[in-house]
Amino acid sequence: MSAVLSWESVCNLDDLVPGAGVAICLDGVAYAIFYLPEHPQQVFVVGHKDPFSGAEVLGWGLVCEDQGRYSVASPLYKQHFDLLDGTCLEDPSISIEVLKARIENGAVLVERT
Amino acid sequence: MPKRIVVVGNGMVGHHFVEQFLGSDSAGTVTVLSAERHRAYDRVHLSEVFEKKSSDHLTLGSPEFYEDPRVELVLNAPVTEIDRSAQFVIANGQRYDYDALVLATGSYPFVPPIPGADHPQCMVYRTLDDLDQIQAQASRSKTGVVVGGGLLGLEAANALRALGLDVHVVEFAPRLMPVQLDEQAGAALRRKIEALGVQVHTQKATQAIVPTQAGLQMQFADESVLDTDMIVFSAGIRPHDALAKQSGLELGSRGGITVDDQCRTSDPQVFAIGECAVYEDRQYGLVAPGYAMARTAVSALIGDASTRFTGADMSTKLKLLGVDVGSIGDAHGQTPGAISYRYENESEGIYRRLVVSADSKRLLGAILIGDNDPFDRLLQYALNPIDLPAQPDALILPSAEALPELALPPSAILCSCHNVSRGDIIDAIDQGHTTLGDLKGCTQAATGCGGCAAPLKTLLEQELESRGVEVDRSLCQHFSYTRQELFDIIRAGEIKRFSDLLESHGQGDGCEICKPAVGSMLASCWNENIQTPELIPLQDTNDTFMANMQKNGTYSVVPRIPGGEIKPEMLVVLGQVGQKYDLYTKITGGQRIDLFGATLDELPLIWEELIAAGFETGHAYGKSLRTVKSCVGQTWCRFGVQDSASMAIYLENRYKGLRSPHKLKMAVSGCTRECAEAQSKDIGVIATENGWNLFVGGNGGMRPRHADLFATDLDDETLIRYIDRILMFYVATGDRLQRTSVWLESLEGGLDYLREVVIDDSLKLGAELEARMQRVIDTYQCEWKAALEDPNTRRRFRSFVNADDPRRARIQLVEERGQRIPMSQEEKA
Repeated sequence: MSAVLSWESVCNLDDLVPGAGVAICLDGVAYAIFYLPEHPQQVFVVGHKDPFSGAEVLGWGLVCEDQGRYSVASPLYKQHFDLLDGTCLEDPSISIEVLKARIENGAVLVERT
Repeated sequence: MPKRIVVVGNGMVGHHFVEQFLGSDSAGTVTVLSAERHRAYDRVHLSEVFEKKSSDHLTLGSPEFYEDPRVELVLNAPVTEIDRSAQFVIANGQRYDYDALVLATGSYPFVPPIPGADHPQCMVYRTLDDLDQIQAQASRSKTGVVVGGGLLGLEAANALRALGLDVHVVEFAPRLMPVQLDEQAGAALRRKIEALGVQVHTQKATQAIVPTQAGLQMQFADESVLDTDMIVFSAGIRPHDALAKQSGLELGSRGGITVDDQCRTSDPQVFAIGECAVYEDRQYGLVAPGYAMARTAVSALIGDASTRFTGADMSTKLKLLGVDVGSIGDAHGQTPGAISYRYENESEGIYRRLVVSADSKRLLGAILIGDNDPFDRLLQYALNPIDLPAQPDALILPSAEALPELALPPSAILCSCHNVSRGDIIDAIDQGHTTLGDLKGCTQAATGCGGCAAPLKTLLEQELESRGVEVDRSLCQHFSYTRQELFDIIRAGEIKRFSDLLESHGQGDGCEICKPAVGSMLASCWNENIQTPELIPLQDTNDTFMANMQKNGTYSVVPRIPGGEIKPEMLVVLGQVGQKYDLYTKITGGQRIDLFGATLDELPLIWEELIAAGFETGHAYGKSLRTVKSCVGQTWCRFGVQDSASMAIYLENRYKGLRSPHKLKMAVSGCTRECAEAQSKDIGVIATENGWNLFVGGNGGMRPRHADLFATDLDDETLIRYIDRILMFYVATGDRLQRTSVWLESLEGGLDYLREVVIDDSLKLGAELEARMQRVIDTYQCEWKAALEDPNTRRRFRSFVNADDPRRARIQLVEERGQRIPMSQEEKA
C-alpha cells in the first residue's frame, strides 16, 4: 500500500517572516519555512537540520539568489541548500529534505504522508 | 661544503645571513651566538620604541624563525675566544666547533676621550638596553644633549624629544651631517630642526664634562658652557673587531676586519659581514650594504662564486625629526669636472642640489632637504646608465608639469635591502602575484627599510595596467559597486531599504554577501532598529537574534560591561542567570562574561532578567563596537598617570551600537606599561603625563598587527574628536569585512593621509564626520530592550512557530569541569 499524501496546516501566515525563515516541528522532526512574497511559490519548506553541523539551524540562514536559483546559506559553515530541491550547492552528493507547501486562507499548508 | 656554521652576532646583518642561508636550502646547521639579551631587531627604527611604547614591532623575522631545527640561537653569549687552528669559539665557557665562522659583531658607538665622559649620566644610543637606560635617566631629566650631529645623532635627538626633554645637539663640524650634506643643506636642515625646538650648536669641541649641583656641565674649547641633565654620545661608530684582532685576523688601517669580495677574512674559514668588516679599507655603516655582504657570504659558503661584494651605494633617504633628508652618491661634487645645480626655497625649507658629470650626461650625486619626492627618480639616474635630460635642473626645479616616465631597465634595483630588481618584480607579477602583499611576500621587496614601498606600488600598477588587468571590485553579483561606492549611493540618495537599493543600483535578489553588507551600511547611516521587518532578512542570524550562534545551534549572550568595570551585585545577577538557565560561563578576552548554551526561546527570558538588573546588550553579535578594554589606571595603580577606566567607559558608552565594516575593538591603558594591550586594538589609547596617545589600526587574530601611533599628548576633547572622525571615515570608506588594519594599509598615503584627513581636515569632511557620529550616538538604543517591548519582535524568538515545547530538550550536552558543554558528533553517534 502506498503512503497517502495530504495537505496539513502547520502554522499561520503571520507566523512567517517575509524574506527570511522560521522553524516548525512536525512529529518530532524540525523543518524550516522560508517566505518569499515576491516569488511565485511564496513558501518553501526544507529540513531545519544542517547536515554538516548536525544542528537545527537552517531556518535562521540567509536567503540567497544566484541567477534566479534560490537557496539558504547555513549560518554555521555557510554551505548553500537549494530551496526547491534541497541539494547542497557546494557538495551535490548531500541534500536536505524538501516538502511541498502552499498558502491558503492565511494558513501554511504542507504536503505529508 | 661546510656543515657547522657559527655566526657571532645577532644584529640585523647577522640575522639576514641566517635568513639567506636557510632560504638557500643548503645542508648545514647554524649556531648564532649573541652578546645581547634580545634576538635580532631593527636598529634603524630604534627611536620608534619611544613613540610606540614598545619594541615588539622591531623584532626581525617571524616569532617561530629561530625555532627552525637547523638553527640554534644562544642569547647572552658573548664570544670571548676564537681558536682558528682548532676551529672553535668559546662563549660562556662553552666550546662551539665550526667548519665556517661568520663574524657579524657590528660596531659600537664611539665615545670621544673627553674627561668626565664616563659619568653615569653620559650614555650611548645603540641597543635596546641603551634605550632602557636613556629612558630611565630621561624620566629624571629636563634637558638632554646629544653629542654628534650626524645621522645617528639626529635619530638620538628624536628619541630624546619623544621622551619630552629639551634637546640640544652638539656637533664638532661646522654643520649638521657633514658626511652627507654640503654647507647650504646643513644650514637648511638646521633651520628646520631648530623650528622644532631642538637647539643646534656647531663647531663645538667638548673639552670636559663636569658634574655640578644640578647635573652636568659641558665645557667647550671656545670657553662657552652648556648645562644639562644627561648626555648621549652619538659621534660615530667603530667596528667591533677586538675578537678578530685577538685571534690575529688582518684588520684595516682604522680598524675593522679586512675582507675580500667574497667577505672572507685573512683566514678563508672565517667570514666577516656588516659594520665589523672593511672592504678596501672602508666600513659600510648602512643596512643595505650589510645585507649585500650577508648574501655574498652565503653564496661563498654554498660554492656560488658569482655573487661578489665590491662596495655599495651609500645613498640615504631619511626622515630625521620629521624632516626629509636625502643624499645620493657624490653629494659634495668631488668628481673632477663635476657641475652642480642648486635650488633653495627658504620659506618652505627646501634645498636641492644636483651634481652631474662634466658632459652633463650622468647624475653623480644629489642632496635633498625638506622634500624627498625627487629622491627615487634621482637615485635611478645615479644607479643606472640613463642619460639626463638636456636641462638637468628640471629634475630639481618645482614644476607644474609632471616629469616624463623614466624608462628603467629590468636590471635596475628596486629594493636595495633585499637586492630585488624591477625584473624580479615583473617576473613575480607574471607568476600571478598581483597584490602588494603578495609581491612583498614572494620577493621580500619593501620589507627591509621600506624606502621602496612607493615605487613598488607604482610599478605594480603600471604593470597591471599594461596587461589590461582590470580589478573587479564589485561587492557581489548583485551590485557592480564597491562598498565605498554603495555607501555614498545610500547616503546621497537617502536610501533606507535594501529593495530600493537593489532596484536603483543592483540586480537579482541579493545574497549572503550583499545583504549583511547593505544592512550594516544602512545601520551606519540611519541607525534604525535592526528588528524593523524590512531589515530582518538582511541580517545574519547573530544580528537578527542579537546573540552569537554556537556550533550546536544554541546562542551565547554577552552583556555590555563597559571598560570591564562591574559592580559585585551585577556580577551576582550574571551568576544567578547562568545557574537558572544552565549556561556555561566564561570570561572573554574583552573583559566581559559570555554565557553559552541558550536556546532561542530562552533569549528573551534571559534578557528580561539582565535588563532588570541594569545590563545592556553587548553587541558581541554585530560588526560593531565590541569592548573598550582598560586597566584600573591612576585610581588604583601606583604607575597610572590618567584615569583610564573612566575614559574607557566613556568611549564604550559613546560608540556602543556603531555598525561598521567589521567588528571594532578598543582599549585604554593608564600608562606606558600598556596593561590594556591598546596597541593590539583598532583604536588604542595610552595615557601620558600630558594627556593621551592615540593608536590606530591594530588587531590580534589571524594576522596580528600593532597599531600605528596616530597622535600624541591629546586632551580629552581632541582625542574624542579624532576618534569620531577616524571611525566615521572608516565606516564610509572601508571595504566589506575589512578591519581597520587592512583599511589603513590600503589607504593611499596610509597613516599620513589619515592624519591629513582627520587632524588637518584636508578633505573638509571633519564637521560632517562628527555630525554623522553624533547622529549614531543620539539614536542609540539598547536593541534588546526595544525587542522585549515589542510583542511582534518578541514572537520571533520562538524555536518552533507551531509548538510551544521548549527546544532545550533537543540539545544534547555533556558535563565538563562542572559545567555543561555541547555533545560532540561522535558522542551523539
